[in-house]
Amino acid sequence: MDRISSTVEPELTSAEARHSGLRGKVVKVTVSSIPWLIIGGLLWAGLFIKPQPEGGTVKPPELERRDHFYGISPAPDGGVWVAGSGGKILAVDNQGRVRPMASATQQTLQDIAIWDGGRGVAVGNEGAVLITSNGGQSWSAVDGVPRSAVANKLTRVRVGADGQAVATGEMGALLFSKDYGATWSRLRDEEDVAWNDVALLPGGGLVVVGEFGRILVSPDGGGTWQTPKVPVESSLMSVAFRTATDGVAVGLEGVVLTTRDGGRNWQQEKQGNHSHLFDVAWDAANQRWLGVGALGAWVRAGIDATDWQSGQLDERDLAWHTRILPMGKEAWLAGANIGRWDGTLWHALGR
Amino acid sequence: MIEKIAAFCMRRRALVAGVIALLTLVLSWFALRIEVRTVFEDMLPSRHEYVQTHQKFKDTFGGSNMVTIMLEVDKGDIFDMEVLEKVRTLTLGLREVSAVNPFQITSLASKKLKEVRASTDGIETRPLMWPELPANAEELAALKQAVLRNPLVYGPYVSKDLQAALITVDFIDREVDYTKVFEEIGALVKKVESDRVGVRVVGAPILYGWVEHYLPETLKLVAAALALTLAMLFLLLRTWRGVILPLLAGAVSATWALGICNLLGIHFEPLVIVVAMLITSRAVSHSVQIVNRFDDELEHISQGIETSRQAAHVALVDLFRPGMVGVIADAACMAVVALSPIPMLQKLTLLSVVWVMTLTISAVILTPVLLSWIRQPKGTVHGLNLAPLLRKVLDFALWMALSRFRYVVIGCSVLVLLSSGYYAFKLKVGDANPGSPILWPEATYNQDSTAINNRFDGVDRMFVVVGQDGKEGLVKSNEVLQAMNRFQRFMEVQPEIGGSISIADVVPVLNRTLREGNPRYEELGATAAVNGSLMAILESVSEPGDMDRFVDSQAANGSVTLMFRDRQGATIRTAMARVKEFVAQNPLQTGEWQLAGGLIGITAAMNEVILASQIEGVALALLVLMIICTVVYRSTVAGMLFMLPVIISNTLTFAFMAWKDIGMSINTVPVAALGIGLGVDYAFYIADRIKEEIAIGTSPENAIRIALNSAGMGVLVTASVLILSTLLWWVSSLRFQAEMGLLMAIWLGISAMSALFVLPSVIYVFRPDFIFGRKDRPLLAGLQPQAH
Repeated sequence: MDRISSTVEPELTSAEARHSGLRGKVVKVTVSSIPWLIIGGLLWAGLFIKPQPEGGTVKPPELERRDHFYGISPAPDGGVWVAGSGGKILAVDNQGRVRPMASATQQTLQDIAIWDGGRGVAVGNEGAVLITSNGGQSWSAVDGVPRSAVANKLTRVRVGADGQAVATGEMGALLFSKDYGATWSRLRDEEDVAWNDVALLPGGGLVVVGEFGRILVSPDGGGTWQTPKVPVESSLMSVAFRTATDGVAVGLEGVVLTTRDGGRNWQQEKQGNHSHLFDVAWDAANQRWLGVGALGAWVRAGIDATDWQSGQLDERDLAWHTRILPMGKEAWLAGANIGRWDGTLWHALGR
Repeated sequence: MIEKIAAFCMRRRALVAGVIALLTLVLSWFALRIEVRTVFEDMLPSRHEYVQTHQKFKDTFGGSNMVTIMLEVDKGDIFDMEVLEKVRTLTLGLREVSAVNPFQITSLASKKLKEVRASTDGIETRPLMWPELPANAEELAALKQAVLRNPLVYGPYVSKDLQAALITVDFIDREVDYTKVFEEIGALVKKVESDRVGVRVVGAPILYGWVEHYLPETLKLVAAALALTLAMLFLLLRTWRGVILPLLAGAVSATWALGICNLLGIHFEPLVIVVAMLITSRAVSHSVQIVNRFDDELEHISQGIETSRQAAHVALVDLFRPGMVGVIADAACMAVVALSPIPMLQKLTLLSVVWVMTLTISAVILTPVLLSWIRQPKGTVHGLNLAPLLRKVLDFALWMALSRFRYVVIGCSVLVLLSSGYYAFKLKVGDANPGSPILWPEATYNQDSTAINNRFDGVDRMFVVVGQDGKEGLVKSNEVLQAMNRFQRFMEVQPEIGGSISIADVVPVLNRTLREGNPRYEELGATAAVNGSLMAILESVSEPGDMDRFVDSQAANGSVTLMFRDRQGATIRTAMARVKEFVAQNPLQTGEWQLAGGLIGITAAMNEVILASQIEGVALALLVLMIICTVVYRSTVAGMLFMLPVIISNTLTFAFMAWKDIGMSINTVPVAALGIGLGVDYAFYIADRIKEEIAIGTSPENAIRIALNSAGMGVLVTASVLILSTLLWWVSSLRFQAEMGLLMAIWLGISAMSALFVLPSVIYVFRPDFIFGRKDRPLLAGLQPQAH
């Protein structure tokens, strides 16, 4: 073992040696062992230090790319609530800010609706029904909802006065609640048809639309049922009423039907767009009918529902929408994306 | 020993020169036949988990050589006969390109992209636009609608704004020849390009095709760098020998190295020309040192016939040790890279080690042997003498070493070492910029890549496989489908991942189609029974090969393909960490997740391997260096001393790389490894000269002055010449070469500076025994005032 320098070191070592021979030795040994420590250290580092990759963290956004939002309702404090994929419920304010709400299901939610006083209900796949009574601060799953052994997707829920609600779905599901969604019962027996939407008319009447152009009308809230003649065979997806008598139903392949007598007779209206239509709504503030559907399609008509116009929300946005919710001068749309439409300009959220 | 070798070389100089000439002649025949090409397979660390998955599934789920072609229009959309015709021409033309896997050509015009239709007659699938183009306006409109309805096409193969269409094509890895593919696809593209329709092409074969495309330019740069080196040497050394002998040394070792490597069956990667330049610069350095020493000796020898031979003999004897140590240290440090499991690096290491070792003959022996024939050793060729200028620099170095300023030098060096060492830890592994780091951002390839990434989900792909061999039909199970779906959702949260695709995306589309196009059913079935019947329907309507992109033939393994917008190191690291996080949190009852294939998968493997061996490489190279110095100088202190300039130049260079966002990748690792040995050459020559002078009784101050003026002059000349000529690379069209040129220049500069300015101070202050001898040696006894 050699020393770093014999010409410089003696000054140190001999000076120290005068104080303590032992200390001098220790210093000497320490100094001369440095190279070996370095060699050992390098060997150790070379053989045993294997850095592992470290990934960054990613925070999932509220609106994920794969999210579908099938249902939309006005929020109690302005803005809207939307519900969709994986049981997600979001509150969106008028500035487009998104806030997630604590959901109580992993099932995809198909629709959401609210009563006054911060009470709300959401329905979805596998017969999932969620309710809130505190303005959406918490949602709880409802047990004991009537189920079919075959299929249980609930597609729409409509609410009426005094805590009434009707949900439609697969296997003839037509479920009724009169206590803000806490308990549910069947309005009709199970049957192999999917009911897609229901309108709750002033005075307690119900108009139900479904697969294969089927329509049901009940003047007494589900006590008795009539099956009016329908001029189409394609599935009807949505129905809405402006008054107790005047209503519009829309469906696949751009079908638009109108009634002037509370659903007993239906006429098909001419409309240029043959994309599927999934929702229709009466926009009272602007006195017009609005409908939306596949490939960014929209339809629009005046109060008489005879002069139908159609178009595409945006050349570059061909997303489908299952709901349209008129609100003030604009309308909110929900589906493959969420956005606002003022009749000419379309603003999608988030993307 | 050294004396014997030198005596032999001088005595039998004709024989030595003759043998070397003969060998050079023979090897040049092989050297000229060395294959210049990039072999992608060589870049893969074959035992890495990801690479094994990649190799196992690449033929089914897409290899790393996928080429993506985009046709785009500025106005209108692609649903126009002219554009569709071009898509079809390209799609059909691609079948003729060499090494193409004909089952892996996908576009609107291929048989693979189909529409599933449900009608009263049942369910049918039919290709969107195969074999014929739409015949009329109605069919064109129907095609557009069919595309818009199909999320497997609208988005992945037709851009969301309908202004671009994509064609992807994969190759049979073993057979792919990048230059050929590049030229053939280039010719195809030329045929369809027009004012209205732009075509953009990316993919590994195209990237490496571009590299080979620039080969002539690269060779011109090599020639220019060489010419500049020689011109500078001529200017500074003012003798023909100072020009011709270094050139000869470089040429001989290049010939030998390439010839031997061809005999060993190693090909030459165009990208490693930089490494070749680096080694040649070593040859020039060593040779210049010897010529320089020869010139020095001439001054001390009285006129006579034997002058040249004598001077050459002295130069050979005195420089044999530092020259050899320099060469061996270079080679040994480089050899450490061979520990890497990446074949390309192993081959490159072999090439470099062989090349560096040839310097022992070409520079250390051949140069002095040829010098011995010099007839008129004195006198210069031209009158412009720049030596006084260089001497001023050396005098400054001397002043720094001998004045009080030496303590400041050491202090500053420590400071630089610590701060650059700290900053060096910011060095990233993997590419640091989007696009390919091999080319400049404004290069066609990178522009194309950006354009495609803007319109589509992402160019670079990674596939993750879920399933288990032998479990037929496992992918059809509810559990696997749901897991795939959750996995895709989880991964797509990362912004750099543009999208993903798997069989779990096909099932919801089918589900929706069967439900009259109702989007409320665009989801996987809720139960195994539903999904099972959906999969059965899918199988019944698809032809063999249709589902290849998603599942293997027994449906035992399925892939999830993730599309990446860039392949920066950080992006890939995050993605891999997230894949692992998901797999850990979502264990499967049957089957398992297998990571990860495709270009991103293997890039991840390469990055992980490079990261894991980063410390190993540097530490072991330093260890080797220290051991060599310890053995040669029989002193561990020598090892420590010579590590100093090496560590300084390493930390500074790594810090520079971190600062300039040059990532540590398969392309930069060899340069970095070679750089470790590079830093030490200059130090050897200077320290050795000091040692020699001290040994013959010169005072330390004088020894340092002499060393700086002779060996230091050599260092200064070679460093300045080589720095200038490597800086020429900055104009290269290949960003990689430009940056590596700059890196080498910096490396050379720092190591020269630390040898000239720092090392003498350190030697003077610490007076190591291996240079100054033991204090009891009578030779040195009187030089230092005794402290006692």
